[in-house]
Amino acid sequence: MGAEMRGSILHVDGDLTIAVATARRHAFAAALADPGFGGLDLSGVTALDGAGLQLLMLAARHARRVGIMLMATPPSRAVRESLAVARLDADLQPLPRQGGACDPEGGRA
Amino acid sequence: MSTLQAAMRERMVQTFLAEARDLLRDLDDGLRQMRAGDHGRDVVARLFRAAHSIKGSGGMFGLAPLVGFTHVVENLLDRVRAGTLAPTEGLVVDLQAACDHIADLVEVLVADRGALDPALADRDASLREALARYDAAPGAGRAPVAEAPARTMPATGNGAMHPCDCWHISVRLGADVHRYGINPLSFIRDLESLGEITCLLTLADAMPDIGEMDPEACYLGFEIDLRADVDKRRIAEVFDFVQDCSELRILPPRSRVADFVELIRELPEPDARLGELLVLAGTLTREELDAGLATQHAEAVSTGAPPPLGEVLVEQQVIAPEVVQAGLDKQAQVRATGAAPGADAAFIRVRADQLDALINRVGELVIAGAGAQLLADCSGQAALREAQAQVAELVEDIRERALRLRMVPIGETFARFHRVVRDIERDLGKGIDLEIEGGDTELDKSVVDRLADPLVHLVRNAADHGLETTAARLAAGKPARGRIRLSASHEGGQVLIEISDDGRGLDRDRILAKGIERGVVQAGAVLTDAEVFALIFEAGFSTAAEVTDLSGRGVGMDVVRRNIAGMRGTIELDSRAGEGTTVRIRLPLTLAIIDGFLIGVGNAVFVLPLERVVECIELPSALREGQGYLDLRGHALPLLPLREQLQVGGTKRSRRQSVVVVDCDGYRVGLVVDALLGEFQTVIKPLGPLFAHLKGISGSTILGSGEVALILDVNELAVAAGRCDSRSFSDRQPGTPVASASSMVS
Repeated sequence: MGAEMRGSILHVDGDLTIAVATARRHAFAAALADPGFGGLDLSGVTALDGAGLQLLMLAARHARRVGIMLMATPPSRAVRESLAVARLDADLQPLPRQGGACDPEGGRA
Repeated sequence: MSTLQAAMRERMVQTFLAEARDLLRDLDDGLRQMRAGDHGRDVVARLFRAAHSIKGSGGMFGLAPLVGFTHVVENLLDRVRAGTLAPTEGLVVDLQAACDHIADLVEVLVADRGALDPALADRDASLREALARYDAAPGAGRAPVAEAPARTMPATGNGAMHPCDCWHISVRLGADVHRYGINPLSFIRDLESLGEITCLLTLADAMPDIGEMDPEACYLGFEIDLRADVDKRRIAEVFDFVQDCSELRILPPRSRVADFVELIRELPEPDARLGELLVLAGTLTREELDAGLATQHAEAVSTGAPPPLGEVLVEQQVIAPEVVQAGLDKQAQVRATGAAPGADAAFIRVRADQLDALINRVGELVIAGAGAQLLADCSGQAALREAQAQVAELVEDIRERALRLRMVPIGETFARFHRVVRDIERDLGKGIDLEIEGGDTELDKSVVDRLADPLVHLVRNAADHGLETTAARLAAGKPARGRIRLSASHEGGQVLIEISDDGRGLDRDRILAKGIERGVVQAGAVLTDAEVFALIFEAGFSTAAEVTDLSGRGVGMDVVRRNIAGMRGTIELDSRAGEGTTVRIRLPLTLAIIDGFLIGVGNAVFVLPLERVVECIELPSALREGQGYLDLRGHALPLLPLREQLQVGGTKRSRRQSVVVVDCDGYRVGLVVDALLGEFQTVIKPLGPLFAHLKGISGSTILGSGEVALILDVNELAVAAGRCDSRSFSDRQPGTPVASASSMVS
């Protein structure tokens, strides 16, 4: 259970929640600082709450900035469900939706 | 218009301009990314949003030509986004031209209150024509305004997307929510049990970067449209546990205008654009917004005097005047950084001279503080020393903050060159790629301002003289497109700015011939490359075979050198025939305060800029009298005895002497001094006209004891001593280009 770099991919297993947020923050920070960072593997994540979501949003910010796909593999069902609730689609690079107003970046670009 | 209204308009116009310029930069950046082959979804989405926002805020000011033209661009981007229009290179090039045109429209329209001069109108028409070619197969996207001047009210089909029959819930969660063991996502699930969430935005604008974020703090917020047949209390109950620490606003379906005004005012996100805000707040739908723009355009066509969009929307009774004003206020309320969201972070315009006066006073404070520190140290009173140490810490903090007020990234200045280069490309018919590096390097605002003109000159020179024509490049086996690189970086407490091209390089023989012809150089003189290249900094020196519009008029490089030298900077040239030219400019970070290193020579005390000091060593006693160099770990280090060089009197020659190794733009020189007195933070006082001709002294400062110390200019000192001439150096220090033909000209 944890987070480790395997090659360029950060693999996260177990819960990605407030309980482990501090430890995961370190893992994410190290991964994002790595110029070769190639994305996340969240296929082993068993739970994702608001604290975990924040880390993913930060990683997504970074991914957008450097132009990589955030999700190296399809994330686990727990992750997909939480992202769906927050209306952030699976790869956290939301499609602009019809009408534009629901574009999560809308008006804040 | 009353004075008050005029002042308000002026304020709004300034906001609009600042915002539009930001957005245009976004557009420019995005288009360049696309041209480089990045057609990613988010790039296109960002472009679309930028165009849309420019159109929206242009509408607020009744800038009909801007709105009309930008709408055409926006439509094309919308189709690219929807995948019904391929982002071909041709399209991107046309869009870049359109983007430049929008930039001109913004400036001209704001200055001339909505009038286009004939030349601009012509270009407007031809660009519209060019863009209309892509309209051949209209697919997705909204009907262009020009073709649908009549009010097109919302299609009922997607009315569900932005209905006013929804509750609008705006929540910014408190920082401790996660620590309470509450998962914010559960609120959304609860709301879903009450009805249908028609729109939801998850926001985390307040969240700093990963290095600074507190992983246990909650930075989340939501904007939610909920269609549910419930009362407000029921919705509020969902947030019961976090109500005390969070900001929750619930607007019922078909709320009063005043409520929306309040919501817009209170939304913490700084960059929310008015149009988006109105839509976001559910006040009006995007279709209504577009319909407002369409009506405005139609009226502009018929009357020639467009009412601002705000008025149009009010007239259509789509929104009330208060809402427009609240939106504008929101925009005016600065878009300051991601910091302290929710707080009224705002920019204040401050006169530069007042800021300078403040920094000057802070400088005095640093000196006075050093004096007090000295006294406290001598007094032997521990309590006094402690109190003084605390004061010193605060003074240091204030100094840093004061200086930071003046620091701006150079990126904005660099970004302007994309446009400059595009214009040159068009005028000269050469293909040029501009590369920019280190745009986030910060330096003093006054330095940045004064740097802009010299940079334009150097870039134009590179494009015009440096880069060959496409045919010549191909013949020389180079890529057809020329490359100009602008970069900025920190180097030893200085900022290094490089302008390089991969063109033909300087023509040594022609420059030399020209120098002889002008009598600057004697015929038959043997000069190094560096000396020859330095000739182009002479007044009135030009070798361009033909004078073009852009450069080659024989003025300029001397002015560039003067400007740079005026900032205590240096400029040097490095060129290889057939490979290109690099101009290096080194500038001090700030003009006001430096960290100094105190040295004693005879009875006098001098200050060296600390960033120039590499190391200090003892002068070996075995050194032969008069030996001008030292073996420093296998490298020959030229020695410069300051006592002789500065002709300092005083008999008290200490038993031991030290060598301070300093860095002179890549070369190293050892200064022989009598005493090392340590670091000292110091304020540079100019020497005044009487001493301006002194070589090797860049200023003075007052020590804590009240004594005056001169600040040494290491470069000039070395040049004056003939120790930094490239001929006397066969052995450059590692990390600097080998055998570069460089010459200091400051």
